[in-house]
Amino acid sequence: MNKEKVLGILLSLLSLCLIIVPVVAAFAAHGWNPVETIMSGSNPLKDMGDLNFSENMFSVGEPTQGPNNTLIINAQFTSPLSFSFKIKSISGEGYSDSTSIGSIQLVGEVEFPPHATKTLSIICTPTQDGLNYIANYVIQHGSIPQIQPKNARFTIDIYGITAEFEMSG
Amino acid sequence: MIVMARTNWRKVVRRINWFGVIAGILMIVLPFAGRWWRLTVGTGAIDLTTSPFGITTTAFGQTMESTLARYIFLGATISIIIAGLFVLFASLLPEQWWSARLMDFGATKVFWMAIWLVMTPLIGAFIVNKILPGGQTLTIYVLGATISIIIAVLSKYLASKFLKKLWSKRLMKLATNVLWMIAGLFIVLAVCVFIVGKFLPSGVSGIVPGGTLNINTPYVSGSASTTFSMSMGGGQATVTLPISMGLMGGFALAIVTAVFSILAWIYHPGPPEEKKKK
Repeated sequence: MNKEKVLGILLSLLSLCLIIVPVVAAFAAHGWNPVETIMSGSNPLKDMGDLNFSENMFSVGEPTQGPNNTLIINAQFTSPLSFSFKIKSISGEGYSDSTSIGSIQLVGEVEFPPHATKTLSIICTPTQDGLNYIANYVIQHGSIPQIQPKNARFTIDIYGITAEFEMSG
Repeated sequence: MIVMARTNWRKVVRRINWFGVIAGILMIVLPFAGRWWRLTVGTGAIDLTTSPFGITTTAFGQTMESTLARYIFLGATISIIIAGLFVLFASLLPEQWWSARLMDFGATKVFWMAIWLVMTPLIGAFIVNKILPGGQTLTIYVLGATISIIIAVLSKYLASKFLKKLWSKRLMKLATNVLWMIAGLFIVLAVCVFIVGKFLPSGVSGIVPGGTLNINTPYVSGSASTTFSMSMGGGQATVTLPISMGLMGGFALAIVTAVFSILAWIYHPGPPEEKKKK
């Protein structure tokens, strides 16, 4: 065998080694555990499985009177996620029992750091019927009625990914 | 004496493969010249920058790590530095018996890396945009693979019969290998079409219950949005993912390196056996 062929074989072996050795070394470094070898650190994508927003996740406080015959409803929300996101908008209809009070809307977008609890201020703009209902309710019960959202629409922004949720009923 | 020394020096300088010298230096620098391609989903939901020598991935503000990827990229970095040194030595001493072998080892590496870096997102986007929604037939891909294989075999045969010059043989070898790669890609696409047809007869939208999936991904460079909507409890959820991709500065240097490497390879004198044959 001449020296040129030997060199050719050695170069082929070098190419092969530079492919095989790193793969073997990587698996050996993690005790031949394939999952650890491929995904060594944290996997933030797993948290996407927790992305399950519903109306029940809000704890709605007592409504207070706002400017121009509006009502302000403060709702607390705790983020289950390990990364930050924004609630950009909430809109829908406000109901008390089965009576429509008026439209509801988030006052301003709210940014949630990981696992943070924040208060969402929602403004309810009552219709004339809604105002009459509230006035009667205050006379009868001495307090402003609880407002529940219906047909709510949420827009959430997670690092530029926009998710819109429409809850019927 | 001085005149003789100058004449010898000129001869040595004239023999040097200057394309190879430039290519060799560029190959050694290339792993440290930045990433070649980037992918962004949203405004940082997923940020990925990559080259054959490294990858940086952040998802939702957290860096993702893979030992396997890190070691493979380290292997590629060492490989290209060795190849660069070989091309450099081979170019400086083109008359040595080992010169042609070292040049063959290193010269086409960056070319193939650049080709793969473009082809991978291109084929990936094609699969996502055209094959996953379903409705594709196998015929065109099988035909594409068959034609590529026939042309590759034919060109190899014709090259061995008719091409005499070393540079033309090398060029034809490169072209034939590109044809083999194209054939391989057609086969990969055919397998994808087969799998989608077999397991997702109504396309990928079929796996979203009561929903729709409009996949739109850019090809290598550009921006697009993918939207999917699905029933969720008593309501409906719609998710929009803006996706952007682009080639980066490192890729421009890779192209320049690949051009110089191929020129150096074509220009380089053949191994001593071929010279004896002549």
